Amino acid sequence: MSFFGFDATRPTEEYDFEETYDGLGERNTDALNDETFGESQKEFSFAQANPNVSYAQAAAEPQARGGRPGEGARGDDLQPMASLWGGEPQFHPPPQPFPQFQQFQQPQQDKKFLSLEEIEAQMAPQFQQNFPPNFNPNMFPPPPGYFPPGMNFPPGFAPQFQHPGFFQGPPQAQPQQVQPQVQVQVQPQVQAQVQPQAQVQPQVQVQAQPQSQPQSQEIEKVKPDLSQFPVLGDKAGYPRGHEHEGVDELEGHEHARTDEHEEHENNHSHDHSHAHSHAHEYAHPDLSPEEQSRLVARSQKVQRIMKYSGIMNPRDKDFVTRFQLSQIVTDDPYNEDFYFQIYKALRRVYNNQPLNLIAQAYLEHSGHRLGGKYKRADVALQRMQQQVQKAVTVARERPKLTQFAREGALGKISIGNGQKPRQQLEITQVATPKRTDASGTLKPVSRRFVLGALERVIANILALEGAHREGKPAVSDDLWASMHVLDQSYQVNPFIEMLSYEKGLKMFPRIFPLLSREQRLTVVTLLFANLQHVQVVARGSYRAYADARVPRDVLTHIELFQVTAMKVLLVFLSEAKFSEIVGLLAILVSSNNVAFVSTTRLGLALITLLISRAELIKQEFKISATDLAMWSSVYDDLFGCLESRLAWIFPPAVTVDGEPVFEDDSYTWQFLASLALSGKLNHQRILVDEIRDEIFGSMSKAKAQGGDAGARTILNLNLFLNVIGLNATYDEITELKN
Amino acid sequence: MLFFSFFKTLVDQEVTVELKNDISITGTLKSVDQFLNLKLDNITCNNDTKYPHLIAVRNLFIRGSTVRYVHLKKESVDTNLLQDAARRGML
Repeated sequence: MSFFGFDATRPTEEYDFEETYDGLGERNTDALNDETFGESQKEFSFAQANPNVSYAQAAAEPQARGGRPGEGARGDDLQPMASLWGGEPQFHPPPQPFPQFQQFQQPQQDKKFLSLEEIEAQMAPQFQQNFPPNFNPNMFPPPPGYFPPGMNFPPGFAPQFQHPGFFQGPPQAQPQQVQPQVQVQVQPQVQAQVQPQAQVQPQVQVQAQPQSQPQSQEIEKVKPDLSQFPVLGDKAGYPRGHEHEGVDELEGHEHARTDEHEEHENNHSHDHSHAHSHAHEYAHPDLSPEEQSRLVARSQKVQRIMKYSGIMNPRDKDFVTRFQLSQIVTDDPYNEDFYFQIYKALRRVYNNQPLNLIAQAYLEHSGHRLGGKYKRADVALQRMQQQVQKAVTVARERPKLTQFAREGALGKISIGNGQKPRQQLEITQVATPKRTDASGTLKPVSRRFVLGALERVIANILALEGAHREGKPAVSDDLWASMHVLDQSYQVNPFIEMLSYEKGLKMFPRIFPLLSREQRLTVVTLLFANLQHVQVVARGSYRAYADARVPRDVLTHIELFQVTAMKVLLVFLSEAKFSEIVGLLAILVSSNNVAFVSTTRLGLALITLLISRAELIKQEFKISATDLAMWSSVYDDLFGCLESRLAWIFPPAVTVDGEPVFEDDSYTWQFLASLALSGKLNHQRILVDEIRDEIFGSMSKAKAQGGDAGARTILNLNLFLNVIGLNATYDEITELKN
Repeated sequence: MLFFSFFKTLVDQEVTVELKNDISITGTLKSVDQFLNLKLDNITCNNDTKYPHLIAVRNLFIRGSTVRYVHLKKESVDTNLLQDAARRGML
């Protein structure tokens, strides 16, 4: 405890202010007063009372100066020793010129602290007795403490001290000399004033200016008696055993347990009493020099660590934290802290309430370990949660306004906060004008329009997803309108154009769950109807390039389509009805150039998807005769489109620098396999006739490749050949054995 | 708040912070606040032959305004989500 009863040095990890003092009082028992009072000048010296000096420093200082350990640390009890002014006779010179004052002292020893009023009341009758009859009690100087510390008595009062009947001090016991006494005034000093000068002087000296003791004649007289008390800087004359009598009781165990001390310290490293027990310890003569130096080093480290500890009290920290929190927290985490919240949700790291998370994070990361590392963490967390809650309330009530103009002022004042930094520009978005031209000609879609439409689609998706997350009812009308699926006023449907962009493709799987089944079917129909206009499909045709090679960037785009749109389509078609699939294929065949689409990787894959799905349903379920008839007519149409062009579906063999480059053509064999599977025998015969060269080409290719790649080529080839009852090896084609 | 939100997800991951004064520091991100001040732990200075004064430092606090770049690992960023978040920030 420091002088003001406020512990500036104890690290303030303790959240509870009351707890800060827990257990400290036990160390400073009255038993130590005898030892500490005489040497506690530092505590009483205002000039030296430096609040910035840490307790550890205070404890270590006497050491550095060669003083006894621990004395500064323990000399912190404000309560003066009663014996100093009466309990111990050796302090008082034998002559007692004013016995009546001695009597009056007696009750004060039992009851050390009297209020000023009480003392005055006690003194008043005695003054009346002793003073000459013409003495005016109103002229009695104000009691000590009446004037602020350090202030001299007003001139009018000063002479009153010299009243012959009252104060018999020599001339040097003038206000100037009494002043230090006034400065450190505590109640008992009142007695000193009324005691003979012989007593006043040592008391002033002992309490305020200990260093000047030897200069005083009176002190010389009583010095032998004082030697029983600890004297600062006088180590030789100090009886060691006496010091330890009281101390060992309390701290003796610390000496014996230097080993355990380490662990002890880890747990209580913030406990200032340690610094003090260190100070005590490292002067212990039993310790080896290494141990001593180790202890010194540790104590210095503790000192260094604690140098600035306690600069802020818990209240300050709370304030700062609350301030910080109020900037960070939000009652709408999914909007303002979107990335973090979703990121964590996707990774399923937290299942807690978001606010608790903030509180928890603060406790963990701020170094603000409320309640200490080892206790009451739950209480601290609770408190922090309350703080967060409070901060959220504040944040909610915070005005949303970001700019305001004072009346008559020229400029605007913009307000920023953590969520929204100060806005420098205010751009008002002009709503895109509605295009309403009745002319029959179809407009080309501009890139700008498509990208703008796509952004609106994405905004709608985000809004709908947000609504789903919060369990609000979501209406997909806006989204549907923004997709322009049924918009007939453009040469190419804007939604199809959107799929030309990567971000459009990425949105495709996210759109689907938000739509009704009917809307989904519409979208899929649109896609199949416009397959040759979908850029990623069209650009995947080898015929579009002079060297018959699809460029790298188109291939990555195609891959993206396969992982986004294709997956969704696969899922949708696997749940579609037979009639729907047949209808889709019919639309595909009727509204696209099938011969061209079949030269594209994606187009071929999509046709494969439809045929194989229809075949699967045909085999598993009972199909009505009308559906079957429709299916065979659609198949005939498709086959008619492909007939005599079947060899074109294979990209031509490519050579780079004379070396053949083998590209993955498994999709072509898959297509042929499903086409053969659905076709009748005459279809299969036409198929084999048309691609005979490719079959043998594939075999020789497999031979050239050899190894795994060759085996894979053969495997792909056999996908098709197995359907028509044949099997290929590297060298020959045989009939498939059942 | 987008960048704050983003950097929060990088807590406890290793990042390389390049400061405007040319020092480049790799360390575990411990915390970030709305000013994008960073706390790093277990740091190593990537150009410590040039700036040896950071050799002995294990953890540090970086004022956000002194940061030029923060280098991230590719796998610690969800780009699609980040795109969404950026769009959301515009709304």
